[in-house]
Parts: sequence; C-alpha cells; structure tokens
Amino acid sequence: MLKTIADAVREDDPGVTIQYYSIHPLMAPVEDLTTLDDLGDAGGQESAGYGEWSIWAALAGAQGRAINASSGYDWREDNEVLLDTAVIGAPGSILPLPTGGEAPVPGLDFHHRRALVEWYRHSKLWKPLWLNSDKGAIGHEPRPRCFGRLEPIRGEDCVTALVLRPEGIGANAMDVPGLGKIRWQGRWAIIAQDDETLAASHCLACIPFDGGSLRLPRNSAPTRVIAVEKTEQPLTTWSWHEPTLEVRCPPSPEIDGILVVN
Amino acid sequence: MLDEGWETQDSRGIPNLPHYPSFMNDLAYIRKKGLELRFWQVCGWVDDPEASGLQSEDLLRGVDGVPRRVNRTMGTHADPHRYVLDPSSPHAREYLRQRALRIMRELKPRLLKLDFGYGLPGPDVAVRHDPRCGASASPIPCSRPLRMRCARTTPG
Repeated sequence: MLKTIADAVREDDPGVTIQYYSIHPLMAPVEDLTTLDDLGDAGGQESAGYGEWSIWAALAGAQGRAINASSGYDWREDNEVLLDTAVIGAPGSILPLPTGGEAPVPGLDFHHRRALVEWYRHSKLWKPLWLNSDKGAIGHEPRPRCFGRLEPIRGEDCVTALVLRPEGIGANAMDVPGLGKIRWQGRWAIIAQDDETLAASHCLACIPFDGGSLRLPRNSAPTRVIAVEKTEQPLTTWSWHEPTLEVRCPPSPEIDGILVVN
Repeated sequence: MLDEGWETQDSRGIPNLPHYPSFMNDLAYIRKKGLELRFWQVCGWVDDPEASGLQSEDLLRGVDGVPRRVNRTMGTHADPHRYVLDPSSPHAREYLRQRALRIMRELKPRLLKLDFGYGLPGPDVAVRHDPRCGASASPIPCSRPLRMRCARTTPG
C-alpha cells in the first residue's frame, strides 16, 4: 500500500518526498525521508524513547538514508532530544505551542533549537561512534550517552559530530578515536560545518546545553571564536594551548552556540 | 506539516472545510510566506468504506469473511477503530492511487508523511484475500539473500 501511494504521487511529481518511519532496507525504494516519530508511543518517557530510537537510527544512517530527527511533544525533554539529533539528522519538530494559561517555552530551548536548525549535518551517509553509549542487550534498552557521527571523507571515517554528556564511564574526559583527548563540563554538541573532521574543520559549531567548558584537540589555532545569538559577537572566554582549544560558558548561556573559525 | 486532522475523516484525502473554512486560503498564505506544504496521510486504513466506494471485498477480512477493524495500538481503548484496505484488491489499490493523485493535484504537497503502517493487523486477525499479492507479485522485490542480509543487520 505504501508503494502504491508512493508510485502514484511520484507519477504526478517525481520530486515529491515520501516520509515514513521504517529503517528496514527493503523500505528504501519507497521512503525518501526516515523519521523518528511518534514519541506518543514512548509511554511518557520521551527523551529515553528518543534515545533508544537514536541508537536504532544508526541503521538508517549506514544506508545513507535522510533522517528527520523530529522531536517529542514535551518541551521539558527537548534538550535531550536535540543532543541526540546533533548526531543523527535534521531537527524536525512536533512540539506544541503553549495555549492559554500554560507556561511559556523557556528561552534557552529556543537557543538550542535554533542552533540545531542552523548547524545540523546535511550529509546522509554515516555510521555511529558509540563511545560510552550503550547499544542495549537482551535484558536492557539501548541508551545514548556520548556518541559521534563518522562520515567517509577522503576514504577515511572521520568524526563530524559529537555529543558529550557528563555521565557514564569517562564522564568528563575521553579519548575519541581519530580526534584525541577531549575534556568537558556540562552537555555539548559539536558539529563540523564542512566536510572535515572536528579537529580540522574550518568552521566548527559548539553548542553548550548547560554552560561549562570544552577542551578539544584542533589542528591549528582559531582565527576567530564567535558567540552566536541573534547577532555574532567575539567570544572572550577561550584559550589556545597547542594543540588544544578551550572554550568556556557561564551556566545557562543565552547564546545559540559558539563558532570556531579557522 | 498538516498533521492528522486536516481531513473530513482520516484516509479520505478531503479537507475538513466545515472545521477549517478558509483551508485553501490558508494554504495560499503559507505558500506566500515561502514555506512548503506537507500533508499527513494514513497508508492503509479507511474510516467509511461505503462513502469511499469500497466494498467488503476490498478490505482485510477475518477467517469468517467479515472485515476487521483496528486502531494504532491494536487495543480496545477509545481510539476509533478503522477498516483496513486489502492490497490484493485491485479496487483498493486503485482507491489508494486515485486518492494520492487527487491530493497531489488539488493540494500540491512537497511531502507526504505516511502513517500507521504499524497499525495493520497480523495474519492471526485478518489476511489479504489473494495471497499471491506480496509473494510472487510482491510490490517490493525481496530476494532471499537480501532478506538474510537484513535479518543479520544490527547496530554497528
């Protein structure tokens, strides 16, 4: 039935996009866009459910499938959703707008949403670098903690996006294969804005979800470090000690993120 | 994205004008803002077969020949229960095809979000009338080696 519908709409408009939920390889000819939706089925545990689906989404990434990372319905859980989104795909949204009498959405959540919309990876082919995440087993569900996105660049798997959470083994410091020693406080999403590894990217987006600090190896000193909100301002709280860049943010930073430019 | 609720009934593909009287004007406004339109669409259910020109033979039926109704959780809670199209019925397939073409031509979406494929009954509840559909006449080629490869696929 899916194929019948897809064939009909493509007959009318070959450029139309078919969005569906399946990560199964046999669905690839039918489905243009794979989506993580609907977290109404997550039993009220949206960030945990989204985390599990993010682990499974790696199967779609390995097939080169475009992923609409979507969201849940609960703004309070959206930060965790966005963190996983930084690795797996484009940030879709099914979040509600507050209606009469409901609390407004916290401003910080808009920062993170804006950041992901602006800086998500547009590539489709990737595979996961699990780091200290748990792929699950027969007795327990999968759970992402720190994990990354590996993309083929000049014949090698390169880390192009990374999510850091202060939890699990290596909660604040970790050797990331192909990158080196990273240290952090708070939750961070790091996304290359070009087809280079995080260490070599000419424009690197660092999104602080809590504030804190981030130290990561880079191939060279940055020429500019910019705090991005509605406007771009030079960030003053950074330092370079070859080969390590350190950026620092106050708690609950009122910025979308930091751009490291080389 | 116009999600579930834009139709007179899920699966009809007809805008609910009594509920959204300025529907077409709203679409024009959205397009004028430079946005693309995307529409939700259920893939296999049908609320009112007769109103859609469908007969019992076009629906998935149980062993007693009576069409079965399901909802997204296959449960008994308050979600409405819908009939399910039988993909082995040429009439049902043509209904799907014509519905999709009508949506494309009248509403011109850039994306269709298909839903509730997981809300189709298993063979313990209802089966297609013609078992050849989905086997030798499978709409999606599925060789045994490919099936085996899929079965072995696990997160990396």
